[in-house]
Amino acid sequence: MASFEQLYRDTFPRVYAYVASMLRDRVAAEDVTAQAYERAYRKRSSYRPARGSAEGWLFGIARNAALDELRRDKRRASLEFDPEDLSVVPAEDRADLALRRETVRAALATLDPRDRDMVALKFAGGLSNREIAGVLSISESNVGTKLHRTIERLRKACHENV
Amino acid sequence: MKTSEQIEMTIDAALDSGRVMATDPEERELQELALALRAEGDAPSDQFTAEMDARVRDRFPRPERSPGFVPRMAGRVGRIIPRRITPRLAGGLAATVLACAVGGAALTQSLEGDLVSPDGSIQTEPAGPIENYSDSEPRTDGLVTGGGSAAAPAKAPDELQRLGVDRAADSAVIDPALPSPAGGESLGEREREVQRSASMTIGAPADELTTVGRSIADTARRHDGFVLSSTLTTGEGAGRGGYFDLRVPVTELDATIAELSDLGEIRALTQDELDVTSSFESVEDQLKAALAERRGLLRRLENAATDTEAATIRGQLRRANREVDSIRGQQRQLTRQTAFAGISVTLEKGSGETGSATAEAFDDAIEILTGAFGLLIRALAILIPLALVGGVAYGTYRGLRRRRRESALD
Repeated sequence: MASFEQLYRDTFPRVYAYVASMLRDRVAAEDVTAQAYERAYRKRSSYRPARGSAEGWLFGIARNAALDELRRDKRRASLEFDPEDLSVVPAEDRADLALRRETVRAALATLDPRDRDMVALKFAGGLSNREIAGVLSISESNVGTKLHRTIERLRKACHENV
Repeated sequence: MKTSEQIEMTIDAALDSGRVMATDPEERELQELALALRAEGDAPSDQFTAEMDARVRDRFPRPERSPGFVPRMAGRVGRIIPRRITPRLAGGLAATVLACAVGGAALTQSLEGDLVSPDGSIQTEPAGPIENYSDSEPRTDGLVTGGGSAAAPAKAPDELQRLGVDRAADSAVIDPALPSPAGGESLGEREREVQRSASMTIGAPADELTTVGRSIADTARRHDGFVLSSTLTTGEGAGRGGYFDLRVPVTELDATIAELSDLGEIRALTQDELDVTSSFESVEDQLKAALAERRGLLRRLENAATDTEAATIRGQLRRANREVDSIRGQQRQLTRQTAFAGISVTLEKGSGETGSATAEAFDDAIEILTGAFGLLIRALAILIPLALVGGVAYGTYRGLRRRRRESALD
């Protein structure tokens, strides 16, 4: 690992976004994100480059921390999203943006939690299929296939919602 | 219908550039969806970002507290001992333990190598030191008897000579022609007469049998001995080997055995001693009696009054002379048996080395390695099943933990 600080700078917003997408709770997401980075820092000597990228390793720790949090608090990822602050969006775009986001959220709600986890790793976490395979302990081709199916399902759901 | 690879490429292009670039309607839709999904991700607040930046900069300081003695010591020990036994660490520990066990066993075997064979039986030392029988001095020859006073009648020396009577010889019971290692000793002070012999088996490489056989004969000759009989078979047959019956002066026995021992691998060595003092005494008694009888006959011959009486006495003297000769023959035989020791040497084909220190060291090294290898196999027979059970248990534990953790997604 070149530098823990560099890894932190490269990944912090994405790790937070991923954890937040799993927990759907800002406060819990902050706690778990901080916990994940501290755990990674303390265990940084156990990282083995041969077993995958540093980002994949970090997201694995974050995912475990998030799952532990979910299990501990019996908290489930729900579709009850926090109300979004749309004040920063230009007035003419607000309606269109809100509609599009609502459509996507509704489509996401139709997914299985495990598929939603994979989508979060891909889009919120920005991981490659290989890195996702490492985090989920499945093969890369399996990740590709599952993502393909999930996106097709999302597209159909979006069409239906529109 | 697009493949999963094409979809992945289309999505990654949008995620990398942050905008929709595709012209194909289907691809555009995918890219819009990808960007929308990414936009779904929440961004950390500025306050949380600042807090995290500070914690990372300070390297996640632990809360200040004053630990007690036990936690403080536990912390120190914890810094020395890794907190988690990783598979690599476990493998390293197992290899270290195994190496220590094998090394210790090899060292032990090396120390005990001369006494204990690989199968655990106690070995005798075949080529051990040659015992020195200092209490069995060779017989002192030249026993002198007090009899035979040379009182043969001076009047008839020619007659006595004609009858084969040697007055000088009659004065000694022992044949002076035989080896006489020591000076004379009176009969009453006789030491024990001991007959000594040895038998040994020598192993030598097949291609050296002839050379070793010659050396055996040369060794006997060098020690003033001789080869009574010998057989040596060489070639490619199964019965290769030889047998040598040697005789050496009893005083040279130990030196000869020591020299023969250097010719090959000594597989067996036996030394025997037989006390023949009583046989000597018996023969000497018979000889004294025969000589006394002869002296009596000589006196009678000197005093014979008639020719008929003299002729009768002469006949008796001839018989007495034959008796004395026979007894002296027995005495010579006994003397030879104690003056010379017999050595029976059996020469066998084998891997016997000729005492090379390098070869012995090589043999020892092979023996140690063989022993260590045997121990390694035994250790592996225990460690491999343990490692398999441990591996299965560890895998099961990890699988259960993952399943339990992911149950939060169900």
